[in-house]
Amino acid sequence: MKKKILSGIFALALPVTAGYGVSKSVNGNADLNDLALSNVEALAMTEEEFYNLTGCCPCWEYLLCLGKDGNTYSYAYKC
Amino acid sequence: MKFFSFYLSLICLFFFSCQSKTEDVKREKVTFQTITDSIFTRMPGRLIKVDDYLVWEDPFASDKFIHVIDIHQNKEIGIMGKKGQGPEEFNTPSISSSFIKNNIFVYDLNSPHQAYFSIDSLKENKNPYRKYENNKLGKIMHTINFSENGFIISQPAEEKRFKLISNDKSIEFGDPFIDNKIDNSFDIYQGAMGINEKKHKFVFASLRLPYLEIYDIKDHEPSLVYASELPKNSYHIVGTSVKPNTQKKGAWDLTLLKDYIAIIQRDYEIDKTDESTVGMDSYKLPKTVFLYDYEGKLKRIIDLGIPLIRIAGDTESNTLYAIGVDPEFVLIKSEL
Repeated sequence: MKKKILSGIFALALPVTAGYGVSKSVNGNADLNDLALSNVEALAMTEEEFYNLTGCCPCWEYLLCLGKDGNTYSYAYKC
Repeated sequence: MKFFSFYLSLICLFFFSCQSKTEDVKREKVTFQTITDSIFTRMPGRLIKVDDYLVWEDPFASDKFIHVIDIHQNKEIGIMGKKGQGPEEFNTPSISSSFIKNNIFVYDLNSPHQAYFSIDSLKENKNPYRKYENNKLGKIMHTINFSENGFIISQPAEEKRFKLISNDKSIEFGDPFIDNKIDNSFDIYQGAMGINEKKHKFVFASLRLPYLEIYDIKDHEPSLVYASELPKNSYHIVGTSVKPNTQKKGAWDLTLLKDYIAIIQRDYEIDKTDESTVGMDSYKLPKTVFLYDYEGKLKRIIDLGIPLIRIAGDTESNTLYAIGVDPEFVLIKSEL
């Protein structure tokens, strides 16, 4: 198994509901749409995409963020 | 002359009180043993010590999210807790930072779904899932157990910041630690929590501001026994919101040991890292653990020499377990 570690661009796996949310909201982004539909369980997003969807930023600490999409996210804060 | 002596004694008093504060704190470099370097995840979530096991959460896993490691054999004995939307699955799981008789409490952040997962059942290849239903709980966001039906729930947006729920009572406690009435209390009043059943203590460390508080919870009647002073430059008010100082912060994670409250915290006297530059760069995480006694006094600053993400331990010993970056995620142990 290949080890993965975060560095540079943040990759975040979002819950299934949020994955569907993204597939609806990024009409202009075909790649992201395909990814969301083909593998909704582990949707990789950049920090910027995550922020645009939720209004939250990822962090290392156990903080919770109430996203503007209606979901609560862990390891994220309102930014 | 009288005035001169008075001012001189005041200056001496100030000088000695400051001096004793720093002299009391011991800075130490401590070695560690690696338990395993098989922490395969994008980002490890909670780490807890459950008797002879270490449990770490993989919050962004696509399949199972609770990993159990035997600390005597230094190997993973299994993974449990399924991601998904089925009846025994969790879409946005979180685990409590405590456990009850080898059972780990799991709750969903976006639904009232809660369950206990049994390590004993996992070992015996039985279904570890047991649904938990308690109409006093509802949807919760951050909780810690002290018994099967006993919880302290964080409710940062409410007037009282915590709720203690047990079989026979429900008590709200914890006044806001910022005087101003603010509209972003949910974001500001979140923190790490720990319970020391033997000492009857509940500890809270803010994750946004450098602030620690200790409650006595004997007979499940919480009373505040210590609250640190919040430095004035740790935040400012904009309108009705609190904006934390982004350059310096307090806790990153907390665990309770036999003699110490252990907190991942940056030692700004040695490490001048500006927190606003850290982001998701794991190599910039703090390498130090601050050890406080149960009266809130800082006693030791431990430098483990590697960036630290999570810490865990129990109140039987001063053995600290941690997930660090060396240069990938590793699970380590150190005797303090």
